[in-house]
Amino acid sequence: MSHALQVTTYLCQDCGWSDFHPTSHCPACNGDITQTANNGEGEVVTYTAIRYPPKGFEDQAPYVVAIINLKKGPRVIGRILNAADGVKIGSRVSLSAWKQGTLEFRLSN
Amino acid sequence: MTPVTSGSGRTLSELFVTAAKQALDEAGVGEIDSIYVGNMMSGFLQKQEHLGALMATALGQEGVSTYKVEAACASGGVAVNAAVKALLSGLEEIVLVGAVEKMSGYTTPEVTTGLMMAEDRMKVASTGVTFVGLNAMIARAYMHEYGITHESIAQFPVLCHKNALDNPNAQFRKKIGVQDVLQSPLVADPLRLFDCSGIGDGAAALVLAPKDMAKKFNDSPVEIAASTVASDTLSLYQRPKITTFEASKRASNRAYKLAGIKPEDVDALEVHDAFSVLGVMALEDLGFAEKGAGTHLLDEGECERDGRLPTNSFGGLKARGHPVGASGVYQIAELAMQLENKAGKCQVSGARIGLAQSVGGIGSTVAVHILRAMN
Repeated sequence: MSHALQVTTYLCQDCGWSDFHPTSHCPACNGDITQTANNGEGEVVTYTAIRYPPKGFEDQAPYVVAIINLKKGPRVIGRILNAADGVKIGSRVSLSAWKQGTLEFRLSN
Repeated sequence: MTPVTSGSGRTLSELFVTAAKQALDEAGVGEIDSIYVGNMMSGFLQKQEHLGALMATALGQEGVSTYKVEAACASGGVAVNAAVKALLSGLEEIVLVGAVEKMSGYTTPEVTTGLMMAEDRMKVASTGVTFVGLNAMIARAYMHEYGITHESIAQFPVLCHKNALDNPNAQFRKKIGVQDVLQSPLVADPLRLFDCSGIGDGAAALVLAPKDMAKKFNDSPVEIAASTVASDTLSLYQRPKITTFEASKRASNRAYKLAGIKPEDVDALEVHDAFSVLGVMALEDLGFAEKGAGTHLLDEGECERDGRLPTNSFGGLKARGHPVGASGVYQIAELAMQLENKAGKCQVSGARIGLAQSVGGIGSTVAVHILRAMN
């Protein structure tokens, strides 16, 4: 069973810049944007576990935050929910939710 | 400059005025044209803005031009850059530039939230990542990419703590070893407590004037040979490569050109070692080592006061202390003391050229200053 969540990627036609966050023009080159479907699969670039959180996150620590290269589309920052199962640089992950502006991933099988 | 302390209860004004009066007295200057105040978090932590007018009033200098400069942890370095440009414009002749930060007296989550204001609130702070966390992600990627051990990187805070033993203004005057770093509590994996600068209060100030005028006040003034600021994306995740700070390269390359020097001409270096890995990366990004080879300089003792590249000779951000917005001015004041041969027990013998690197956010703004002895 897949956890994958379909999201929309905003992709620049001219320079290849992309992001999940809606934009009408490319912030890098002002080029035209097309929207493409993204299945949220990616690979961990780096990660950390937050043990001393900011205000409002106290009851969640420790939690794992990672930078992730999505196969189709942008590099993003988000949480890895089941990191305790063994996250490493290069681990494959897929997007499972997008909650209150935070991308939530799970390690792929 | 004031000693960096935690829990003194001193206000922003008390800290700033102490440093500013010391700088004005030592320079023998009474009248000034303007005040530049570097600071990052006064609006959030102290609920106080308008530091320009506040400090002019506290100093009894109301009437002069005043400015507050904010660029996260590079606020101090960028304030000096703004003051240098004011002098170069010819519109101002004697400028007081100081920076102040008060971080103690608040909970760790409050200070952590304040520091995260240097990153993107909507896309990055919303994940719950902290500044230590962002730097921890760099540290993990750096060690992985270049095959560097935590032991190697931990030499940086060890060096800073050793140097701070001789600095009466240092916050942490305690010798530590590599094992102390590796066995200290985890803050954000893999970074541990002694990889990270602490929470402290402090202020530092400088008096700047055109060269010919400076000589009337001081027989051996120090020249600012270059003052540059460069930027990068606000967020770490927006960069294709996260184990180098392009803004450090940009700012330093331009500074070397302006000063007409090369990295090997630098006699005393102050880098922004808010986290151990940043100290190592700075050695590379500023042109003193190839990428991945920064720790070799530490292995070989090159960064010690009697080495080829004396680095953070007063203890750096790690051990002198890192009152965030003020650190950039501490660095430059310390270098000026080195070049005037007034550094006491921290003195680097025969230092003629100094370089300071001040980093704002996660490498998003970098200020570089090159100082040169004029005598």
